[in-house]
Amino acid sequence: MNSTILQINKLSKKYKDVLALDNLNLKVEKGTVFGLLGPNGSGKTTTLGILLGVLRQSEGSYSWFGNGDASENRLRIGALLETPNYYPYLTAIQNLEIVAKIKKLDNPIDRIESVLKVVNLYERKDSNFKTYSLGMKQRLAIAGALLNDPEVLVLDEPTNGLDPQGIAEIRELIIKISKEGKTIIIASHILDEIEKVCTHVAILKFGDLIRQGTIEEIIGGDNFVIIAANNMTLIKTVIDENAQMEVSKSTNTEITIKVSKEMTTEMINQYFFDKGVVLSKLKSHSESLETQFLEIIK
Amino acid sequence: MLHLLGIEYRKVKNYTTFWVMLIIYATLIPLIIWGISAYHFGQEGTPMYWEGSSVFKFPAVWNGVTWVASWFNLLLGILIVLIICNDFNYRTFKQNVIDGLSKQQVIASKFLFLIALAMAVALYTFLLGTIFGFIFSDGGNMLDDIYYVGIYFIQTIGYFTLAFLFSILLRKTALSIIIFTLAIIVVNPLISLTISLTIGDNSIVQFFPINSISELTPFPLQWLADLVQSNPNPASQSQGIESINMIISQPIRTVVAAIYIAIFVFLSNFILKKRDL
Repeated sequence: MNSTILQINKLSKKYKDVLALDNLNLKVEKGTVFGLLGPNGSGKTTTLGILLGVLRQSEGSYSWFGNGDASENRLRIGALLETPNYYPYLTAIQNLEIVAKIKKLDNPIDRIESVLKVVNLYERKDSNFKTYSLGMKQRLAIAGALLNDPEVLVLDEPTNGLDPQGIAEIRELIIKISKEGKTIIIASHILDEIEKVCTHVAILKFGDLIRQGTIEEIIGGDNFVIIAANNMTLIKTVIDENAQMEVSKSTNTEITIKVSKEMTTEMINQYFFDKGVVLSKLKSHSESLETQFLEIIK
Repeated sequence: MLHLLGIEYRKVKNYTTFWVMLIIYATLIPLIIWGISAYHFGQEGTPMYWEGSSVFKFPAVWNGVTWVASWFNLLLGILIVLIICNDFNYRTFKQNVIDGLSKQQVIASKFLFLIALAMAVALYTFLLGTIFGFIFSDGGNMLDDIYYVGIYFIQTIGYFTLAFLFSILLRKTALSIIIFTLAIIVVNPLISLTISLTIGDNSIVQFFPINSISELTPFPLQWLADLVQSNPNPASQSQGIESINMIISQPIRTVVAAIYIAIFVFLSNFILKKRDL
Protein backbone atom coordinates (compact mmCIF):
# COMPACT_ATOMS: atom_id res chain seq x y z
CA MET A 1 0.00 0.00 0.00
CA ASN A 2 2.85 2.36 -0.50
CA SER A 3 3.03 3.11 -4.17
CA THR A 4 0.78 5.61 -5.86
CA ILE A 5 -1.35 4.24 -8.67
CA LEU A 6 -3.04 7.45 -9.61
CA GLN A 7 -2.24 11.06 -8.93
CA ILE A 8 -4.62 13.82 -9.97
CA ASN A 9 -3.48 17.43 -9.90
CA LYS A 10 -5.79 20.42 -10.20
CA LEU A 11 -7.98 18.72 -12.77
CA SER A 12 -10.75 20.86 -14.26
CA LYS A 13 -13.20 20.33 -17.09
CA LYS A 14 -15.21 23.18 -18.46
CA TYR A 15 -18.03 22.78 -20.94
CA LYS A 16 -19.44 25.87 -22.61
CA ASP A 17 -20.99 27.39 -19.52
CA VAL A 18 -20.73 24.58 -17.01
CA LEU A 19 -17.78 23.81 -14.81
CA ALA A 20 -18.15 20.04 -14.64
CA LEU A 21 -15.03 19.53 -12.61
CA ASP A 22 -13.28 22.14 -10.55
CA ASN A 23 -9.68 21.81 -9.49
CA LEU A 24 -9.74 18.18 -8.35
CA ASN A 25 -6.79 16.79 -6.43
CA LEU A 26 -6.75 13.09 -5.59
CA LYS A 27 -4.31 10.33 -4.90
CA VAL A 28 -5.10 6.65 -5.13
CA GLU A 29 -2.71 4.20 -3.51
CA LYS A 30 -2.07 0.66 -4.64
CA GLY A 31 -4.41 -1.95 -3.25
CA THR A 32 -7.18 0.41 -2.22
CA VAL A 33 -10.77 0.23 -3.29
CA PHE A 34 -11.47 3.84 -4.00
CA GLY A 35 -15.06 5.05 -4.17
CA LEU A 36 -15.94 8.17 -6.07
CA LEU A 37 -19.25 9.37 -4.71
CA GLY A 38 -21.57 12.12 -5.67
CA PRO A 39 -25.06 12.92 -6.83
CA ASN A 40 -25.96 12.95 -10.50
CA GLY A 41 -24.00 15.56 -12.37
CA SER A 42 -21.34 15.91 -9.71
CA GLY A 43 -18.49 15.15 -12.08
CA LYS A 44 -17.81 11.46 -11.38
CA THR A 45 -18.07 10.28 -14.97
CA THR A 46 -16.33 13.40 -16.23
CA THR A 47 -13.41 12.61 -13.95
CA LEU A 48 -13.21 9.02 -15.11
CA GLY A 49 -13.66 10.09 -18.74
CA ILE A 50 -10.59 12.30 -18.47
CA LEU A 51 -8.60 9.64 -16.65
CA LEU A 52 -9.43 7.15 -19.40
CA GLY A 53 -8.43 9.42 -22.26
CA VAL A 54 -11.92 9.95 -23.62
CA LEU A 55 -12.35 13.55 -22.50
CA ARG A 56 -9.74 16.26 -22.58
CA GLN A 57 -9.29 18.19 -19.38
CA SER A 58 -9.49 21.96 -19.57
CA GLU A 59 -6.79 22.28 -16.97
CA GLY A 60 -4.68 20.19 -14.66
CA SER A 61 -3.01 16.85 -15.10
CA TYR A 62 -3.09 13.24 -14.00
CA SER A 63 -0.65 10.43 -13.90
CA TRP A 64 -1.20 6.68 -13.88
CA PHE A 65 1.54 4.51 -12.40
CA GLY A 66 3.73 7.61 -12.26
CA ASN A 67 3.82 7.44 -16.02
CA GLY A 68 1.74 10.47 -17.00
CA ASP A 69 -1.26 10.22 -19.28
CA ALA A 70 0.24 7.97 -21.97
CA SER A 71 -2.31 5.76 -23.71
CA GLU A 72 -0.16 2.68 -23.00
CA ASN A 73 -1.10 3.07 -19.34
CA ARG A 74 -4.60 2.01 -20.26
CA LEU A 75 -3.34 -1.38 -21.41
CA ARG A 76 -2.76 -2.05 -17.70
CA ILE A 77 -6.23 -0.81 -16.74
CA GLY A 78 -9.58 -2.49 -17.15
CA ALA A 79 -12.39 -0.01 -17.40
CA LEU A 80 -16.10 0.33 -17.73
CA LEU A 81 -17.31 3.85 -18.42
CA GLU A 82 -21.00 4.80 -18.48
CA THR A 83 -22.65 2.33 -20.84
CA PRO A 84 -21.46 -0.98 -22.26
CA ASN A 85 -20.06 -0.05 -25.68
CA TYR A 86 -20.01 -2.96 -28.09
CA TYR A 87 -20.85 -3.81 -31.68
CA PRO A 88 -24.48 -5.02 -31.72
CA TYR A 89 -23.89 -7.28 -34.71
CA LEU A 90 -21.02 -9.16 -33.06
CA THR A 91 -21.20 -11.89 -30.44
CA ALA A 92 -19.73 -11.62 -26.94
CA ILE A 93 -16.66 -13.53 -28.09
CA GLN A 94 -16.17 -11.44 -31.23
CA ASN A 95 -16.57 -8.21 -29.28
CA LEU A 96 -14.07 -9.30 -26.66
CA GLU A 97 -11.67 -10.38 -29.41
CA ILE A 98 -11.50 -6.73 -30.45
CA VAL A 99 -10.77 -5.70 -26.85
CA ALA A 100 -8.12 -8.43 -26.62
CA LYS A 101 -6.53 -7.23 -29.85
CA ILE A 102 -6.35 -3.68 -28.53
CA LYS A 103 -4.92 -4.93 -25.25
CA LYS A 104 -2.39 -6.98 -27.24
CA LEU A 105 -3.26 -10.26 -25.53
CA ASP A 106 -1.84 -13.42 -27.05
CA ASN A 107 -4.15 -16.40 -27.55
CA PRO A 108 -7.05 -14.56 -25.98
CA ILE A 109 -9.77 -17.16 -26.47
CA ASP A 110 -9.15 -19.04 -23.19
CA ARG A 111 -9.05 -15.79 -21.29
CA ILE A 112 -12.23 -14.57 -23.03
CA GLU A 113 -14.08 -17.74 -22.12
CA SER A 114 -12.92 -17.59 -18.53
CA VAL A 115 -14.06 -13.98 -17.97
CA LEU A 116 -17.38 -14.80 -19.61
CA LYS A 117 -17.75 -17.60 -17.07
CA VAL A 118 -16.91 -15.19 -14.25
CA VAL A 119 -19.80 -12.90 -15.24
CA ASN A 120 -22.16 -15.80 -16.02
CA LEU A 121 -22.39 -15.07 -19.71
CA TYR A 122 -20.64 -18.15 -21.02
CA GLU A 123 -23.83 -19.85 -22.18
CA ARG A 124 -24.64 -16.82 -24.34
CA LYS A 125 -21.13 -16.32 -25.67
CA ASP A 126 -22.19 -16.85 -29.28
CA SER A 127 -25.27 -14.63 -29.21
CA ASN A 128 -25.15 -11.20 -30.79
CA PHE A 129 -24.69 -8.33 -28.37
CA LYS A 130 -27.95 -6.76 -29.57
CA THR A 131 -29.95 -9.71 -28.24
CA TYR A 132 -28.69 -9.12 -24.68
CA SER A 133 -30.72 -7.62 -21.88
CA LEU A 134 -29.42 -4.51 -20.14
CA GLY A 135 -28.03 -6.59 -17.30
CA MET A 136 -26.28 -8.96 -19.70
CA LYS A 137 -24.73 -6.05 -21.55
CA GLN A 138 -23.45 -4.73 -18.25
CA ARG A 139 -22.00 -8.15 -17.45
CA LEU A 140 -20.22 -8.22 -20.78
CA ALA A 141 -18.77 -4.78 -20.08
CA ILE A 142 -17.46 -6.05 -16.76
CA ALA A 143 -16.01 -9.08 -18.54
CA GLY A 144 -14.32 -6.67 -20.96
CA ALA A 145 -12.82 -4.73 -18.07
CA LEU A 146 -11.48 -7.93 -16.50
CA LEU A 147 -10.14 -9.32 -19.76
CA ASN A 148 -6.51 -8.29 -19.42
CA ASP A 149 -6.32 -9.18 -15.71
CA PRO A 150 -5.66 -5.50 -15.07
CA GLU A 151 -3.65 -3.94 -12.27
CA VAL A 152 -6.33 -1.32 -11.89
CA LEU A 153 -10.03 -1.73 -12.41
CA VAL A 154 -12.05 1.41 -13.10
CA LEU A 155 -15.79 0.89 -12.79
CA ASP A 156 -18.40 3.53 -13.45
CA GLU A 157 -21.74 2.48 -11.94
CA PRO A 158 -20.82 -1.20 -12.26
CA THR A 159 -24.14 -2.58 -11.03
CA ASN A 160 -26.24 -0.46 -13.37
CA GLY A 161 -29.13 -2.51 -14.74
CA LEU A 162 -28.27 -5.63 -12.79
CA ASP A 163 -30.78 -7.66 -10.80
CA PRO A 164 -30.25 -8.07 -7.03
CA GLN A 165 -28.48 -11.36 -7.56
CA GLY A 166 -26.24 -9.78 -10.18
CA ILE A 167 -25.47 -6.86 -7.86
CA ALA A 168 -24.44 -9.26 -5.10
CA GLU A 169 -22.28 -11.24 -7.53
CA ILE A 170 -20.48 -8.16 -8.79
CA ARG A 171 -19.93 -6.97 -5.25
CA GLU A 172 -18.37 -10.29 -4.30
CA LEU A 173 -16.27 -10.15 -7.43
CA ILE A 174 -14.98 -6.69 -6.59
CA ILE A 175 -14.09 -7.77 -3.06
CA LYS A 176 -12.37 -10.89 -4.40
CA ILE A 177 -10.35 -8.89 -6.91
CA SER A 178 -9.34 -6.32 -4.31
CA LYS A 179 -8.06 -9.13 -2.10
CA GLU A 180 -5.69 -10.07 -4.91
CA GLY A 181 -4.02 -6.74 -4.24
CA LYS A 182 -5.52 -5.01 -7.25
CA THR A 183 -6.55 -1.40 -7.09
CA ILE A 184 -10.16 -0.60 -7.84
CA ILE A 185 -11.76 2.75 -8.51
CA ILE A 186 -15.55 2.79 -8.42
CA ALA A 187 -17.85 5.67 -9.19
CA SER A 188 -21.36 5.25 -7.95
CA HIS A 189 -24.30 6.98 -6.41
CA ILE A 190 -25.42 3.74 -4.81
CA LEU A 191 -23.97 4.36 -1.38
CA ASP A 192 -24.65 0.94 -0.04
CA GLU A 193 -22.48 -0.42 -2.80
CA ILE A 194 -19.59 1.90 -1.98
CA GLU A 195 -19.88 1.31 1.74
CA LYS A 196 -19.75 -2.45 1.35
CA VAL A 197 -16.70 -2.62 -0.87
CA CYS A 198 -14.63 0.55 -0.59
CA THR A 199 -11.71 1.33 1.67
CA HIS A 200 -11.43 4.98 0.64
CA VAL A 201 -13.97 7.51 -0.52
CA ALA A 202 -14.01 10.88 -2.20
CA ILE A 203 -17.24 12.82 -2.36
CA LEU A 204 -17.93 15.19 -5.23
CA LYS A 205 -20.63 17.78 -5.66
CA PHE A 206 -21.05 20.11 -8.62
CA GLY A 207 -17.52 19.35 -9.69
CA ASP A 208 -16.01 20.09 -6.29
CA LEU A 209 -14.28 17.66 -4.00
CA ILE A 210 -16.12 17.93 -0.69
CA ARG A 211 -14.66 15.19 1.46
CA GLN A 212 -11.99 12.60 1.07
CA GLY A 213 -10.70 9.92 3.39
CA THR A 214 -10.93 6.32 4.48
CA ILE A 215 -14.40 4.94 4.86
CA GLU A 216 -13.99 4.97 8.67
CA GLU A 217 -13.02 8.60 8.64
CA ILE A 218 -16.08 9.51 6.63
CA ILE A 219 -18.59 7.34 8.45
CA GLY A 220 -17.01 7.37 11.90
CA GLY A 221 -17.47 10.02 14.53
CA ASP A 222 -20.88 9.94 16.09
CA ASN A 223 -23.21 7.15 17.01
CA PHE A 224 -26.86 7.25 16.24
CA VAL A 225 -29.61 5.78 18.35
CA ILE A 226 -33.27 5.42 17.57
CA ILE A 227 -35.52 5.87 20.54
CA ALA A 228 -39.25 6.08 21.29
CA ALA A 229 -41.47 6.44 24.33
CA ASN A 230 -45.15 6.98 25.08
CA ASN A 231 -44.59 10.64 25.79
CA MET A 232 -42.80 11.98 22.75
CA THR A 233 -42.90 15.59 23.93
CA LEU A 234 -41.20 14.83 27.20
CA ILE A 235 -38.54 12.82 25.44
CA LYS A 236 -37.56 15.85 23.39
CA THR A 237 -37.15 18.09 26.40
CA VAL A 238 -35.03 15.47 28.06
CA ILE A 239 -32.82 15.26 24.99
CA ASP A 240 -32.42 19.01 24.89
CA GLU A 241 -31.23 18.98 28.48
CA ASN A 242 -28.28 16.78 27.61
CA ALA A 243 -25.39 18.42 25.76
CA GLN A 244 -24.12 15.05 24.54
CA MET A 245 -27.30 14.37 22.59
CA GLU A 246 -28.77 15.96 19.54
CA VAL A 247 -31.93 15.25 17.59
CA SER A 248 -30.97 14.11 14.13
CA LYS A 249 -34.32 13.04 12.77
CA SER A 250 -37.70 12.98 14.38
CA THR A 251 -41.04 11.51 13.39
CA ASN A 252 -44.27 11.07 15.33
CA THR A 253 -43.32 7.60 16.42
CA GLU A 254 -39.56 7.67 16.88
CA ILE A 255 -36.57 9.96 17.21
CA THR A 256 -33.06 9.41 15.91
CA ILE A 257 -30.50 11.06 18.13
CA LYS A 258 -26.85 11.68 17.62
CA VAL A 259 -24.81 10.83 20.67
CA SER A 260 -21.11 11.04 21.39
CA LYS A 261 -19.07 7.89 20.89
CA GLU A 262 -18.53 7.23 24.59
CA MET A 263 -22.22 6.84 25.32
CA THR A 264 -23.39 3.26 25.29
CA THR A 265 -27.02 2.29 24.85
CA GLU A 266 -27.00 1.24 28.47
CA MET A 267 -25.98 4.74 29.54
CA ILE A 268 -28.64 6.26 27.34
CA ASN A 269 -31.30 4.01 28.76
CA GLN A 270 -30.22 4.84 32.31
CA TYR A 271 -30.24 8.55 31.55
CA PHE A 272 -33.79 8.57 30.25
CA PHE A 273 -34.98 6.34 33.06
CA ASP A 274 -33.47 8.74 35.60
CA LYS A 275 -35.37 11.57 33.93
CA GLY A 276 -38.62 9.67 34.26
CA VAL A 277 -38.90 8.51 30.68
CA VAL A 278 -39.34 4.83 30.01
CA LEU A 279 -38.14 4.06 26.55
CA SER A 280 -40.34 1.75 24.52
CA LYS A 281 -37.66 1.50 21.86
CA LEU A 282 -33.91 1.77 21.96
CA LYS A 283 -31.97 0.73 18.92
CA SER A 284 -28.38 1.45 18.16
CA HIS A 285 -28.19 2.64 14.60
CA SER A 286 -24.79 2.35 13.03
CA GLU A 287 -24.23 5.38 10.95
CA SER A 288 -24.50 4.55 7.31
CA LEU A 289 -22.63 6.24 4.56
CA GLU A 290 -25.97 7.37 3.25
CA THR A 291 -26.74 9.52 6.27
CA GLN A 292 -23.27 11.00 6.19
CA PHE A 293 -23.47 11.52 2.48
CA LEU A 294 -26.75 13.37 2.65
CA GLU A 295 -25.34 15.44 5.48
CA ILE A 296 -22.13 16.21 3.62
CA ILE A 297 -23.62 17.22 0.33
CA LYS A 298 -26.27 19.43 1.94
CA MET B 1 0.25 -0.77 -38.35
CA LEU B 2 -0.83 -4.36 -38.88
CA HIS B 3 -2.04 -4.35 -35.31
CA LEU B 4 -4.39 -1.43 -36.05
CA LEU B 5 -5.57 -3.00 -39.30
CA GLY B 6 -6.23 -6.21 -37.40
CA ILE B 7 -8.53 -4.34 -35.03
CA GLU B 8 -10.45 -2.79 -37.92
CA TYR B 9 -10.70 -6.12 -39.72
CA ARG B 10 -12.30 -7.71 -36.66
CA LYS B 11 -14.92 -4.95 -36.71
CA VAL B 12 -16.05 -5.70 -40.28
CA LYS B 13 -15.33 -9.43 -40.42
CA ASN B 14 -18.84 -10.31 -39.33
CA TYR B 15 -20.57 -7.12 -40.46
CA THR B 16 -23.05 -8.34 -43.07
CA THR B 17 -23.86 -4.91 -44.54
CA PHE B 18 -20.20 -4.37 -45.36
CA TRP B 19 -19.86 -7.60 -47.30
CA VAL B 20 -23.24 -7.25 -49.04
CA MET B 21 -22.29 -3.81 -50.32
CA LEU B 22 -18.92 -5.08 -51.51
CA ILE B 23 -20.58 -7.99 -53.26
CA ILE B 24 -23.01 -5.61 -54.98
CA TYR B 25 -20.04 -3.52 -56.09
CA ALA B 26 -18.07 -6.53 -57.25
CA THR B 27 -21.00 -8.01 -59.18
CA LEU B 28 -22.37 -4.89 -60.84
CA ILE B 29 -19.10 -3.74 -62.44
CA PRO B 30 -18.49 -6.85 -64.57
CA LEU B 31 -22.22 -6.99 -65.40
CA ILE B 32 -22.15 -3.41 -66.68
CA ILE B 33 -18.93 -4.00 -68.62
CA TRP B 34 -20.51 -7.04 -70.17
CA GLY B 35 -23.60 -5.00 -71.01
CA ILE B 36 -21.63 -2.17 -72.61
CA SER B 37 -19.44 -4.56 -74.55
CA ALA B 38 -22.52 -6.13 -76.13
CA TYR B 39 -23.76 -2.75 -77.30
CA HIS B 40 -23.05 -1.06 -80.60
CA PHE B 41 -24.56 1.69 -82.72
CA GLY B 42 -24.19 3.44 -86.05
CA GLN B 43 -23.48 2.01 -89.48
CA GLU B 44 -20.39 -0.11 -89.76
CA GLY B 45 -17.75 1.83 -91.71
CA THR B 46 -19.12 5.31 -90.90
CA PRO B 47 -17.34 7.63 -88.42
CA MET B 48 -20.25 7.28 -86.00
CA TYR B 49 -19.96 3.52 -85.83
CA TRP B 50 -19.08 2.34 -82.40
CA GLU B 51 -19.04 -0.98 -80.69
CA GLY B 52 -18.99 -1.18 -76.92
CA SER B 53 -16.30 -3.80 -76.69
CA SER B 54 -13.78 -1.30 -78.11
CA VAL B 55 -13.68 0.35 -74.71
CA PHE B 56 -12.46 -2.89 -73.16
CA LYS B 57 -9.62 -3.71 -75.52
CA PHE B 58 -6.04 -3.29 -74.32
CA PRO B 59 -4.96 -0.66 -73.43
CA ALA B 60 -8.26 1.28 -73.52
CA VAL B 61 -9.66 -1.23 -71.02
CA TRP B 62 -7.90 0.50 -68.09
CA ASN B 63 -9.80 3.68 -68.79
CA GLY B 64 -12.98 1.72 -69.48
CA VAL B 65 -12.92 -0.46 -66.38
CA THR B 66 -11.99 2.31 -63.97
CA TRP B 67 -14.60 4.57 -65.53
CA VAL B 68 -17.33 1.97 -64.93
CA ALA B 69 -15.97 1.26 -61.44
CA SER B 70 -16.07 4.98 -60.63
CA TRP B 71 -19.88 4.91 -60.97
CA PHE B 72 -19.88 3.13 -57.64
CA ASN B 73 -17.59 5.47 -55.77
CA LEU B 74 -20.65 6.89 -54.06
CA LEU B 75 -21.66 3.40 -52.90
CA LEU B 76 -18.22 2.77 -51.46
CA GLY B 77 -18.19 6.24 -49.93
CA ILE B 78 -21.46 5.43 -48.17
CA LEU B 79 -19.89 2.22 -46.93
CA ILE B 80 -17.10 4.25 -45.36
CA VAL B 81 -19.64 6.64 -43.79
CA LEU B 82 -21.42 3.61 -42.35
CA ILE B 83 -18.30 2.10 -40.83
CA ILE B 84 -17.14 5.34 -39.27
CA CYS B 85 -20.55 6.45 -37.97
CA ASN B 86 -21.02 2.99 -36.46
CA ASP B 87 -18.07 3.64 -34.21
CA PHE B 88 -19.67 6.88 -33.11
CA ASN B 89 -23.15 5.40 -32.65
CA TYR B 90 -21.98 2.35 -30.75
CA ARG B 91 -19.54 4.57 -28.78
CA THR B 92 -16.87 2.12 -29.76
CA PHE B 93 -14.39 4.86 -30.67
CA LYS B 94 -14.65 5.78 -27.02
CA GLN B 95 -14.33 2.19 -25.92
CA ASN B 96 -11.26 1.64 -28.13
CA VAL B 97 -9.59 4.58 -26.39
CA ILE B 98 -10.66 3.35 -22.95
CA ASP B 99 -9.25 -0.07 -23.81
CA GLY B 100 -5.87 1.42 -24.62
CA LEU B 101 -5.63 3.00 -28.05
CA SER B 102 -4.61 6.62 -28.32
CA LYS B 103 -6.87 9.00 -30.18
CA GLN B 104 -4.20 9.19 -32.86
CA GLN B 105 -4.25 5.41 -33.22
CA VAL B 106 -8.03 5.38 -33.49
CA ILE B 107 -7.86 7.89 -36.35
CA ALA B 108 -4.90 6.13 -37.95
CA SER B 109 -6.60 2.74 -37.84
CA LYS B 110 -9.58 4.10 -39.77
CA PHE B 111 -7.31 5.72 -42.37
CA LEU B 112 -5.33 2.51 -42.73
CA PHE B 113 -8.51 0.57 -43.24
CA LEU B 114 -9.72 3.05 -45.80
CA ILE B 115 -6.43 2.79 -47.73
CA ALA B 116 -6.55 -1.00 -47.53
CA LEU B 117 -10.09 -1.00 -48.94
CA ALA B 118 -9.07 1.38 -51.74
CA MET B 119 -6.18 -0.93 -52.56
CA ALA B 120 -8.42 -3.97 -52.62
CA VAL B 121 -10.85 -2.17 -54.90
CA ALA B 122 -8.04 -1.01 -57.23
CA LEU B 123 -6.70 -4.54 -57.33
CA TYR B 124 -10.13 -5.78 -58.26
CA THR B 125 -10.38 -3.35 -61.19
CA PHE B 126 -6.91 -4.47 -62.28
CA LEU B 127 -8.18 -8.05 -62.25
CA LEU B 128 -11.31 -7.14 -64.21
CA GLY B 129 -9.25 -5.07 -66.68
CA THR B 130 -6.92 -8.00 -67.27
CA ILE B 131 -9.76 -10.46 -67.78
CA PHE B 132 -11.86 -8.26 -70.09
CA GLY B 133 -8.78 -7.03 -71.91
CA PHE B 134 -7.88 -10.59 -72.82
CA ILE B 135 -11.46 -11.39 -73.77
CA PHE B 136 -11.74 -8.53 -76.28
CA SER B 137 -8.14 -8.22 -77.44
CA ASP B 138 -4.75 -9.81 -77.22
CA GLY B 139 -2.32 -8.71 -74.56
CA GLY B 140 0.09 -6.88 -76.88
CA ASN B 141 0.13 -3.41 -75.40
CA MET B 142 -1.81 -4.29 -72.30
CA LEU B 143 0.17 -2.20 -69.82
CA ASP B 144 0.25 1.03 -71.84
CA ASP B 145 -2.47 2.87 -69.89
CA ILE B 146 -2.19 0.89 -66.67
CA TYR B 147 -1.75 4.16 -64.76
CA TYR B 148 -5.56 4.44 -64.76
CA VAL B 149 -5.66 1.82 -62.01
CA GLY B 150 -3.37 3.98 -59.89
CA ILE B 151 -5.47 7.03 -60.65
CA TYR B 152 -8.62 5.11 -59.73
CA PHE B 153 -6.93 4.25 -56.42
CA ILE B 154 -6.36 7.95 -55.79
CA GLN B 155 -9.95 8.66 -56.76
CA THR B 156 -11.41 6.15 -54.29
CA ILE B 157 -9.11 7.56 -51.60
CA GLY B 158 -10.56 10.96 -52.50
CA TYR B 159 -14.13 9.76 -52.05
CA PHE B 160 -13.24 7.85 -48.89
CA THR B 161 -11.50 10.77 -47.22
CA LEU B 162 -14.41 13.03 -48.12
CA ALA B 163 -16.80 10.46 -46.61
CA PHE B 164 -14.52 10.32 -43.59
CA LEU B 165 -14.67 14.09 -43.19
CA PHE B 166 -18.48 14.16 -43.44
CA SER B 167 -18.80 11.34 -40.90
CA ILE B 168 -16.46 13.03 -38.44
CA LEU B 169 -18.37 16.28 -38.81
CA LEU B 170 -21.89 14.89 -38.56
CA ARG B 171 -21.44 11.62 -36.61
CA LYS B 172 -24.99 10.48 -37.39
CA THR B 173 -25.25 7.73 -39.99
CA ALA B 174 -28.40 8.76 -41.84
CA LEU B 175 -27.53 12.45 -41.83
CA SER B 176 -23.98 11.82 -43.04
CA ILE B 177 -25.14 9.54 -45.85
CA ILE B 178 -27.76 12.04 -47.01
CA ILE B 179 -25.44 15.06 -46.90
CA PHE B 180 -22.55 13.16 -48.49
CA THR B 181 -24.79 11.91 -51.30
CA LEU B 182 -26.48 15.27 -51.87
CA ALA B 183 -23.13 17.07 -51.93
CA ILE B 184 -21.93 14.78 -54.70
CA ILE B 185 -25.00 14.33 -56.86
CA VAL B 186 -26.90 17.61 -56.31
CA VAL B 187 -25.01 20.45 -54.66
CA ASN B 188 -21.71 20.11 -56.48
CA PRO B 189 -23.22 19.73 -60.01
CA LEU B 190 -25.61 22.61 -59.32
CA ILE B 191 -22.92 25.00 -58.12
CA SER B 192 -20.57 23.90 -60.91
CA LEU B 193 -23.24 24.48 -63.55
CA THR B 194 -24.24 27.87 -62.15
CA ILE B 195 -20.67 29.11 -62.01
CA SER B 196 -19.89 27.72 -65.47
CA LEU B 197 -22.93 29.44 -66.96
CA THR B 198 -22.16 32.68 -65.18
CA ILE B 199 -18.56 32.98 -66.28
CA GLY B 200 -19.16 31.28 -69.59
CA ASP B 201 -16.74 28.35 -69.33
CA ASN B 202 -16.01 25.44 -67.07
CA SER B 203 -12.32 26.00 -66.48
CA ILE B 204 -12.64 27.06 -62.85
CA VAL B 205 -15.11 24.43 -61.71
CA GLN B 206 -12.74 21.71 -62.84
CA PHE B 207 -10.57 22.65 -59.89
CA PHE B 208 -13.43 22.06 -57.46
CA PRO B 209 -12.77 19.21 -55.05
CA ILE B 210 -15.45 16.77 -56.15
CA ASN B 211 -15.00 17.59 -59.84
CA SER B 212 -11.25 17.16 -59.83
CA ILE B 213 -11.58 13.86 -58.01
CA SER B 214 -14.47 12.45 -60.02
CA GLU B 215 -12.98 13.42 -63.38
CA LEU B 216 -9.83 11.47 -62.68
CA THR B 217 -11.47 8.60 -64.53
CA PRO B 218 -12.76 10.39 -67.61
CA PHE B 219 -15.43 9.24 -70.01
CA PRO B 220 -13.54 6.77 -72.21
CA LEU B 221 -15.06 8.02 -75.48
CA GLN B 222 -13.97 11.60 -75.48
CA TRP B 223 -13.67 11.51 -79.29
CA LEU B 224 -17.30 10.40 -79.46
CA ALA B 225 -18.46 13.19 -77.16
CA ASP B 226 -16.58 15.71 -79.25
CA LEU B 227 -18.13 14.24 -82.36
CA VAL B 228 -21.64 14.49 -80.93
CA GLN B 229 -21.00 18.06 -79.95
CA SER B 230 -19.78 19.08 -83.37
CA ASN B 231 -22.70 17.30 -85.03
CA PRO B 232 -24.84 19.92 -86.78
CA ASN B 233 -27.99 17.98 -85.87
CA PRO B 234 -29.43 20.09 -83.00
CA ALA B 235 -31.36 17.18 -81.55
CA SER B 236 -28.23 15.30 -80.65
CA GLN B 237 -26.22 18.34 -79.69
CA SER B 238 -25.48 18.49 -76.06
CA GLN B 239 -25.36 21.65 -74.03
CA GLY B 240 -21.84 22.97 -74.46
CA ILE B 241 -21.28 23.46 -70.77
CA GLU B 242 -22.23 20.02 -69.65
CA SER B 243 -19.89 18.21 -71.96
CA ILE B 244 -16.51 17.50 -70.56
CA ASN B 245 -14.24 20.15 -71.88
CA MET B 246 -10.85 18.91 -70.86
CA ILE B 247 -8.77 21.89 -69.93
CA ILE B 248 -6.56 20.56 -67.19
CA SER B 249 -4.37 17.62 -68.02
CA GLN B 250 -4.50 14.32 -66.16
CA PRO B 251 -1.24 14.87 -64.22
CA ILE B 252 -2.36 18.29 -63.03
CA ARG B 253 -5.78 16.95 -62.09
CA THR B 254 -4.12 14.15 -60.13
CA VAL B 255 -2.02 16.65 -58.21
CA VAL B 256 -5.09 18.82 -57.53
CA ALA B 257 -7.01 15.77 -56.26
CA ALA B 258 -4.08 14.76 -54.07
CA ILE B 259 -4.04 18.25 -52.55
CA TYR B 260 -7.76 17.99 -51.78
CA ILE B 261 -7.22 14.57 -50.20
CA ALA B 262 -4.51 16.05 -48.01
CA ILE B 263 -6.92 18.81 -47.01
CA PHE B 264 -9.70 16.31 -46.16
CA VAL B 265 -7.31 14.24 -44.06
CA PHE B 266 -5.92 17.29 -42.33
CA LEU B 267 -9.39 18.64 -41.52
CA SER B 268 -10.68 15.29 -40.22
CA ASN B 269 -7.60 14.86 -38.09
CA PHE B 270 -7.86 18.40 -36.81
CA ILE B 271 -11.54 18.04 -35.85
CA LEU B 272 -11.03 14.68 -34.14
CA LYS B 273 -8.08 15.95 -32.17
CA LYS B 274 -9.93 19.02 -31.05
CA ARG B 275 -13.19 17.41 -30.02
CA ASP B 276 -13.91 14.91 -27.31
CA LEU B 277 -14.73 11.49 -28.66
